[in-house]
Amino acid sequence: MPTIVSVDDSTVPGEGSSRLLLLVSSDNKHIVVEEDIMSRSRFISKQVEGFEATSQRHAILLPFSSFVLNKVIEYCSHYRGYYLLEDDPDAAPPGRSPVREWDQEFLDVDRNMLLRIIKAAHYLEIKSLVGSCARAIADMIRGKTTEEMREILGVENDFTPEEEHSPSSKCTG
Amino acid sequence: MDSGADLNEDNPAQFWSTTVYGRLSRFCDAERHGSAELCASVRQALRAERAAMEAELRTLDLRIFALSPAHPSRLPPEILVHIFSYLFAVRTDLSCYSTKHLQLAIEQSARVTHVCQRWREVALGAPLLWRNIIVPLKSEEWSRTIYNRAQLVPIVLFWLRQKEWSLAPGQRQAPPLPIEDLARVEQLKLASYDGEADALAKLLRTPAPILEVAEVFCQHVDMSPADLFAGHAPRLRSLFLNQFPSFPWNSPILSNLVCLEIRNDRMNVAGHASPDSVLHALQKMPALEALALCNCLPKFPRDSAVLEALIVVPSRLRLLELHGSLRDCVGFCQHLIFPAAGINLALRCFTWGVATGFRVLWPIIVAAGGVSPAPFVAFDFSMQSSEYLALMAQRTAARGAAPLPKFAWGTSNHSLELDLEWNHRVGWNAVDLMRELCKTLSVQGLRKLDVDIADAPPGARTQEVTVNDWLEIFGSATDLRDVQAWGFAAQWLCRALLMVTDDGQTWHSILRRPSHPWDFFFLPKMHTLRLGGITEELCYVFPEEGLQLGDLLVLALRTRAENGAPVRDLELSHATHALEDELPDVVDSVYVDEYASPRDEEVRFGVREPDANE
Repeated sequence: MPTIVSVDDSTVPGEGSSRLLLLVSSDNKHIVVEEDIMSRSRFISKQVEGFEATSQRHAILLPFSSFVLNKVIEYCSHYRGYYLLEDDPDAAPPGRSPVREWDQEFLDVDRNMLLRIIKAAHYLEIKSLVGSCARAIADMIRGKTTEEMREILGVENDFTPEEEHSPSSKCTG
Repeated sequence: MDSGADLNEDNPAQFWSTTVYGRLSRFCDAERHGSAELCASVRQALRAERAAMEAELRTLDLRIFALSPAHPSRLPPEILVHIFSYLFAVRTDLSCYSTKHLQLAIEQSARVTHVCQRWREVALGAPLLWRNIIVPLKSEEWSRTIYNRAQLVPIVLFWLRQKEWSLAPGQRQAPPLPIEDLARVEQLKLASYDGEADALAKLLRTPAPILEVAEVFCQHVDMSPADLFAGHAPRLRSLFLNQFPSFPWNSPILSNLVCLEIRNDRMNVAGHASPDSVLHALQKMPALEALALCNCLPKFPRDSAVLEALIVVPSRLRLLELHGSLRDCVGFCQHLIFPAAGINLALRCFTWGVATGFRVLWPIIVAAGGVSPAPFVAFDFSMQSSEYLALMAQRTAARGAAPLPKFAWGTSNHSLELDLEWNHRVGWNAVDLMRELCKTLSVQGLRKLDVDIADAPPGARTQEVTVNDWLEIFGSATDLRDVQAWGFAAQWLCRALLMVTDDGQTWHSILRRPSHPWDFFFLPKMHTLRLGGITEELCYVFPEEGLQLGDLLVLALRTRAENGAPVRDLELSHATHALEDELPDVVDSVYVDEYASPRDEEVRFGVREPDANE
């Protein structure tokens, strides 16, 4: 279970059309965000259901930095109200359909940031963002040689020389 | 999860012995002494508990993962598999001819397993990543390796067109196949050549219990149609057959089809089915949404009381494409009742006398759709000459001696395309045909227009699109946004834009009265204009006055811009760059291509040089 910290009601602004959530990042930044925006995250939705059961307001502690969290919130804000197949495959698609090209621009970040975003999206269970990040990472290494893939993603070659050159360990196609 | 006990992290063994086994013993008692209802409720409780525990485990996994460093080699397997799935992906719309793409996809998947131990372990542990089996790869061993990695998951089998296709038939070899039947094949995309036909026929004769999509280029395959998938393909939804000599219309594999496409070469039509067998089969295909019958339509007799009663109501049909003789297309449509709306209809009919043929066909189409053409969301229509067949035969006899004549006449998705080049050679009055079609379909909603009369021979003018034709036929096309015109059509379009009649009277009146009130614009919403195929003959609108087409264009576009109907994008081929200098203040984007054939080199479509005496 994630760590949930009870907070004073005054920490959270008053309720409007959409309830507000308090998210706390690993660098101890408090970020208030509308519940509607974060409803794309199944993790957050489950937490909110838990709040309703205890009728108590909570802050949700998240194990990633405010920089990453803000990026995730930006993504969720952009697609607020949109139907995305990956996040809700059972729902009937409404009329509006987003332009996913926006994702490409949104994810035009360095490798480390991209990896942090995909991890955060995975933690928060935002499948559409996981998919977009995975596609972006795949695009970074598509058509590259093995060595280039290692270089681009900073992966160490941990094969022993025997394994690397053994005909049985690899198919050269 | 039952909250009766907490997980004792210091002593898990004690936790299991005291708590879990204790609870299990309760269930064992229920099994021994309880009623069937009690056992069922215990089972349900156990399942619920298992689900809760799995959820807890997942949460723990996520926490562990979230606290680990963000490093690609440490990404959790789910994310790595997700990334690999994009890398390994083969586009589902690819056919068996996309050799290069498929080869690259499979090479990419091989490289991923060589990056590091973890990537290799994750990739090999995900059989779904290996479901695309491509034959031939560089070696039989590699095909088998991929097949084995797919373990038991349903596979997609691509049988590619071989690089050695240009070899003489006797020298071609069938590629080794990792499978002997279609038991595990979910999608099948095959292209055969004569050296491979036997192996392919053998495979196609086996039952296909999980096959959903089959796309087969069957040239040279010698097999009885009834043998296709041994008549057993209960999950088959989409079937695309190319060059299949005679389709098995009585086969049980058709009953669940959503999409059926049969495409044959028009020059090699053989084994037509009987009309009643086709219609009976279609009556038994209630899920059908897309149907393409290209050069395989049955021959419909002129009168048949038996056939008359055979009506097909494809209630889910959204796309119908027919290629064949006008009589067969008409005969087929006479037995259809289309759904109320949303039909995408494409017809390629060949006949003598195109305009007459259209008059015959159209009422049939309208009748099939009810009382009006309203059900059609798109209409793509083409009539082709029967002489085409003769020309094709000539061309085949003397390959390379004559270029393939172009002829097309059709509309597509609110765009109308007209290529009259071939029309001149067979003496049809394409303008009449166009007028007929536009009257029937109404051009009011038309957004895009492409008219090509680039290579009309000298003396053919009387049968082409004149200024008055433009005004008469397209005057009501008030929604037209994108216009492309070539050759004569371009010249006449420019004149129509200024409403210059064929005798030039309007032009002279404009010259005399520069403050002519422009209260009407031809094609008022047009924002994109592409003109091309301007030859020397066409450069001068009024040769005696030396007036160039460019002068007219500049005047027309400037006047439109000043009066609130600007053209934003302009593309001109065979034009001088002088036009680029003239137009930037009235057009957002101008592209000029100076290409011209050698004989036209000295004359360019452009702005008239100032006359010293003027």
